[in-house]
Amino acid sequence: MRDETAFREFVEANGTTLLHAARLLTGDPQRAEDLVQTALTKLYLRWGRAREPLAYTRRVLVSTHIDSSRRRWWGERSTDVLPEQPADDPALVASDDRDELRRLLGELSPQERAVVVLRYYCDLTEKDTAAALRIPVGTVKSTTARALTRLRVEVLR
Amino acid sequence: MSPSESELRASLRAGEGERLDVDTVVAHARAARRDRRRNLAAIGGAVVAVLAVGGVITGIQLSRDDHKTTGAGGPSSTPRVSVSCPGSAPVMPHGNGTGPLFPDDVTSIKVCVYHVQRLSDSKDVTGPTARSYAQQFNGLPTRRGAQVCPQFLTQITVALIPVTPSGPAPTVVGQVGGCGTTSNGTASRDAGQLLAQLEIGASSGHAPIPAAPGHTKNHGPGPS
Repeated sequence: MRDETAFREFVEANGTTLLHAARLLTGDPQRAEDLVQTALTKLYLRWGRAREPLAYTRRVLVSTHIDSSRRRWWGERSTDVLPEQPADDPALVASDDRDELRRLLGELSPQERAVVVLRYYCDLTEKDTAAALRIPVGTVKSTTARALTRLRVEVLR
Repeated sequence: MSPSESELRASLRAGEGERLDVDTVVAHARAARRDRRRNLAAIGGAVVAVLAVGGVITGIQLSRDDHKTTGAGGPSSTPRVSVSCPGSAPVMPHGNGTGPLFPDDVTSIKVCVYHVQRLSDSKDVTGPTARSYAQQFNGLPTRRGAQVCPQFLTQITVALIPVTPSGPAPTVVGQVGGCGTTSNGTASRDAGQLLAQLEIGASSGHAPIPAAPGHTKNHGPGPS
């Protein structure tokens, strides 16, 4: 790779944010690391050709996550019984609004979650969010409104 | 009480700070690039191999076809006549020599029939039939001195193009009717009967002349 140093600098500067965004999207630290690795690998292979590396990586991140969330006959299948149950440690039980929000975030659809993460964590505009998800701005607005309603967030106008 | 938008932002930022291992990321990306290059090379190699095998097979088939076309082979082989008839009747050559009309090693004869100077039919005579005709033409007596021929011209010209293993030989041209004067430019014979046999495509002592591909026109019983 011609400019691997620049790529390293990019990962140093944005890796933390991307990893956290992936965690918010997946709700799973391991899947989040895999997701970020996938996105950064695609960026590595396109390095020098991607005009806006961060926007490209975000777009790959959310699209890969949404694609992997779709049910496929060869993919993962949900079961009625959870294989592992968390211990009833009081320290782990969600007790405040922050934990409640995280829990509700996990109940959103992949696209709703992506919109919330891009708008309120990555601080993208509606237009940039629409570009990242490749959906119309109107869809971003309606999806955001629906997601915030489900999160029971009061939106200040 | 419902959380506000700022609380949502704060909630989303909570737990932020874990850093990525850049070396691991770069190592994985390098491995992916290596795999992709290897896959591309494998696909390219497979395509080249398929093209090479296809080329070899095509070459072998073409070689076999050439062998069939050019190989005079054994006595039962019937080489394909590759000459074509002129569009109009060739000029009758004049020759009074006593040599043969056809070469001894003739493998096929292209028979071109012209009605009033225009090509009307063509046939290929190959193998033993061609050699038999050549021997019969060469065996005819040469014309000696002045001979009066009846004025019974049909305006039918037959051009015979002998083909030998080394290529086409001089064309033999004959006029059907009268004495059936036939010449190759150096020798001449009166071959009215043989010309008529070739012209109608059948002979009492030989197998019928096979029609050349592309010519399906049938002739009547002979010149009138």
